[in-house]
Amino acid sequence: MNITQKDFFVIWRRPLMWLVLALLSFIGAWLFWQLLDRYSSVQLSLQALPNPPSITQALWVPFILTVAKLLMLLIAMTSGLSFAQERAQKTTWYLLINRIRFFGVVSAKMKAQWPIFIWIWLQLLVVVMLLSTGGEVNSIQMIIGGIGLSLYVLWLMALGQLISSYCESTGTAVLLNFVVFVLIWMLGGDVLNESYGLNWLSLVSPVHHLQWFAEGEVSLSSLIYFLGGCGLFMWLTAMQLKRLKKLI
Amino acid sequence: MENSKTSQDNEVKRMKLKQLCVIRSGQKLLQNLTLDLPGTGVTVLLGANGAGKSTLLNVMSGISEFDSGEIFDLEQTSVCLMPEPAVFYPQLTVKEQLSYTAHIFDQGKDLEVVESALKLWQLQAVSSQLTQHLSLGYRQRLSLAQMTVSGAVLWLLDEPMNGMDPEVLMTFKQQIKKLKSSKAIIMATHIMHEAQDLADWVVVMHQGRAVFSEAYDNKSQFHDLYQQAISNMSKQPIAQRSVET
Repeated sequence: MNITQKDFFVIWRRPLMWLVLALLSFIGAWLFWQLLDRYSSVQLSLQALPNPPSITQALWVPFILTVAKLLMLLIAMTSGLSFAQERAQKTTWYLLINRIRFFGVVSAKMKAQWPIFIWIWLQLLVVVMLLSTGGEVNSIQMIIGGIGLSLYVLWLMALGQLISSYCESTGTAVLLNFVVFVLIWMLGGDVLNESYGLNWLSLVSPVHHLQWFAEGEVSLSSLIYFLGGCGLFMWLTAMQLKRLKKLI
Repeated sequence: MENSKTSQDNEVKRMKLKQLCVIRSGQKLLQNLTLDLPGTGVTVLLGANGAGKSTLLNVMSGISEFDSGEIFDLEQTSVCLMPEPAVFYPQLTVKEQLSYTAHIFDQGKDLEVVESALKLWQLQAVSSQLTQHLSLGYRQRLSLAQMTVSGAVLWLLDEPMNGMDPEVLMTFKQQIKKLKSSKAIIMATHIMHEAQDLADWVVVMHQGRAVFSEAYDNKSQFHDLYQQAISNMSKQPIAQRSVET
């Protein structure tokens, strides 16, 4: 049993995790139904427009952003547990013994959170199937949106693990993760760029990058933002793990 | 596993620690500790609480970093630690915990290794139980089983005999006697009379220093030896309070 398998058991044997997943699935489904309901009610008015938005344009982007917001809670929990729990239950020595480099440990712990990706793609698949019954969907945009959401999740996981490596209590780590995720999301909120075009602050937040992906736009800057950010956070976590040797 | 040292073709040479200092939160846990320990056999660390025994084991295992000094001939050695108290992943079963340890220490055929360790330490009955439900005695057994599956050549045991029932203690002593010709075993303990039977070398620690380090001749009692080392040390000027090896 390697670190990934061990962490998989540690995370996913918690009934709370499945409860949260079920709750998020329910909320996701409920919000999607609300979106559909609203779309149906304004559909006649939309058709009166010279260039009415397609079903993909009208529902896909808001849905992706909704799922992204819901995922913050789940990722705050899974990534918050990763190192804080090791420190809380004093099992960090298993990770430190006979080891010089720690990047492998960080990536192994990240891999243990793979069921989140299954959950995301299942949600997206169901939505795509539902939308395709109501009209023509833009499959390329949907695939790009799914990839964008996956990159966003990777970015959040890496950040969550970094925060977790600084915490000695799982509760603190999960709470701190959630607060930081929400603040970062708020940083990318619409209010910030109302007056002066796109504010640089909002580009620090993953919201706009995710939104571009959801709209079917793949930009190099967004790819660098997500992958580079993920790599940077993982490297910082590995450094912090090495630094823990000075604390034991 | 990536980046971990393999236990194969490892051989413990004589271990030398020179002027080792460990400072945590401004407190000196190890102060200019110099030791020369044998490459095989059982070394017993004696000392009061806070003498620095556990810190020394942590440093030798590599999980704790020292602030100054040098350790020779340990870089290529596969080390396993039995900490006090024994800590496991509460969400894993006994078998899974051992399988994980085997993987951490690069023991390729971990299933066979795990099965034999379960048998050796009489853990078969609880192999499917979560580690969080184990009694103190079983936790000690599991900790020792972890040492077995690690395949490490340097065993660092922190209070291994705490909470052991007589049967397990007997197995423990048998195993240590069997293994001490091929492994270096360093054991920190307060249970002096039991450790006496096993010791080949004895180190007395006091306030982060090694005040006595010699081969054990089985003639003197540990208790007397400890008292003598402490009283000799208190007669010395502070600057000379460590063994010169």
